[in-house]
Amino acid sequence: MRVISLQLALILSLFSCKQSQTDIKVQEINEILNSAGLSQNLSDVDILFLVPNAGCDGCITMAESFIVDNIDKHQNFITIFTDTKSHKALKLKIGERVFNHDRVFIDRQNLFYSGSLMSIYPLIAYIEMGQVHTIVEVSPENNTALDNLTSQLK
Amino acid sequence: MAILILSCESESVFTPKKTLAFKDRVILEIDSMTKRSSKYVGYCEQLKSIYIFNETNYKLYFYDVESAENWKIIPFEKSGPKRVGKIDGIYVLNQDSIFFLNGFGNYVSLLNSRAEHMAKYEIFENNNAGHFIQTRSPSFKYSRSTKTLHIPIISSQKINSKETKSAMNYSLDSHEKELYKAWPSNFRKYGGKGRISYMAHNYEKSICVFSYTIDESIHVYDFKNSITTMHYAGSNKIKKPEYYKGGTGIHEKALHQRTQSWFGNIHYDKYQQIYLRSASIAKRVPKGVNPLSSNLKTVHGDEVYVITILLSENFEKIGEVPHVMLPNSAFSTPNGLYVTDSQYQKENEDIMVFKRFEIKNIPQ
Repeated sequence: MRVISLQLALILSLFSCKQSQTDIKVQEINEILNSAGLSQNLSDVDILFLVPNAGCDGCITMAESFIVDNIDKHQNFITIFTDTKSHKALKLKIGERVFNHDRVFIDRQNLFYSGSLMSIYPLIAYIEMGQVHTIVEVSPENNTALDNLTSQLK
Repeated sequence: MAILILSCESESVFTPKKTLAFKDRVILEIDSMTKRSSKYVGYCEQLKSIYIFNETNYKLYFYDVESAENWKIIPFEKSGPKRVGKIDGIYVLNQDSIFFLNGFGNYVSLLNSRAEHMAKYEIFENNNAGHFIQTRSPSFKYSRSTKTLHIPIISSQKINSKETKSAMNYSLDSHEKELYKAWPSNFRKYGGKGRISYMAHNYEKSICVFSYTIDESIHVYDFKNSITTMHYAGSNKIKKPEYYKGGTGIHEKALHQRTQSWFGNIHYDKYQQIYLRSASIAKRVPKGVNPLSSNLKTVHGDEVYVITILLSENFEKIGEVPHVMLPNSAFSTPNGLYVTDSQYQKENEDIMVFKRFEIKNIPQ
């Protein structure tokens, strides 16, 4: 019985560790949104797409293509490019029109590239009432992330 | 038969005799379509010009190294009948001899200043050859005297580890191929970073000097007798990398690459008769921190992320310069060594900057 309890405790602690990793990201992104006064501007936004400058090249290229293809079609998502080393290079990659789009933002102060948000993968943050409740990585291990995102776009 | 001669010696007390002294900068004005961090940048000795190939608009820009003037642009075709196709490397011998490398197709195309195709060289006829053009290495060269292409190559898993080759000579006249210089043993165990080699040719001595990312020694291959000698060209700051034991995850790979030290590009300055070899130092990545973060310290707790090692004509270590790295585009002229400078006026994205160094004696 004691052995079973220990195993159960171990499983639960592993589960809670995994949970807390995502929770930390959610907490940090909400803190940034609140402290920067951005939450109030997110009432019509369901999804925030956070794209880093470097890391998983394939994942970032896929995310950029997704944004180029969808930014005009759907109104309920915004994109933030963070840790951008070269605005010119980004502009050449996604095109001037998308670069200057009113739902595309460049995180010039790298607000969203700190703590646990420093990721080699693009992050999809799902929002409700101006607060992020779930964060999903676009990574080779999670290859349905963009399909799932498509189903959430309006 | 290749014979290996070892003449390695690690350093106990090293007294530098030479260093690199910063002199000035060459500042090129680039257009709105060209990135400051362009991937395909080189120097054409015949034209005394820096060239930049723009991957977006497929234009090749030439800048005079003395005046920094953009004196010519050659537009190549991305699609259509004169298309160049996918490009993984470029080497400009002169305006009418421009070599483009295609890694996937394993061929080299030769085009002229009118963007016309002059020739196509199938380096490996098919993908079953067991060897491939190594596109991550900048060491593609052409020898005018022998009409030979010198191409860095890599052997696939099909090739027994004792039969691997890291370079090839391809004769443009006879189309004969000579594969030479085995990879260091176990090079496949270090992950992707272990599978890059750099070459510096010394045509006067008929040798090719290899810098492998995982080996503190340089390997000097003599074309006359097919003998390889090895010479210490490392640093006390650098420990041999550990084998990569992770999986296919990108995070694991990035973590391994950043927490190990790697040797890098090698360049022969024929005017000063000095070899230069750069290396990057392992970083300390605290748990939970993105390995690609730019705020990491090295394993030594300092901010010396890169070094360049200087070697004499006889491969004796004569200098170690911190904070200088040789990018793929590094080149020499009688006026000095030029390396790209990404930090100077870094907010200005419409310039490309080269630092010029002179090799200087250190008073003993």
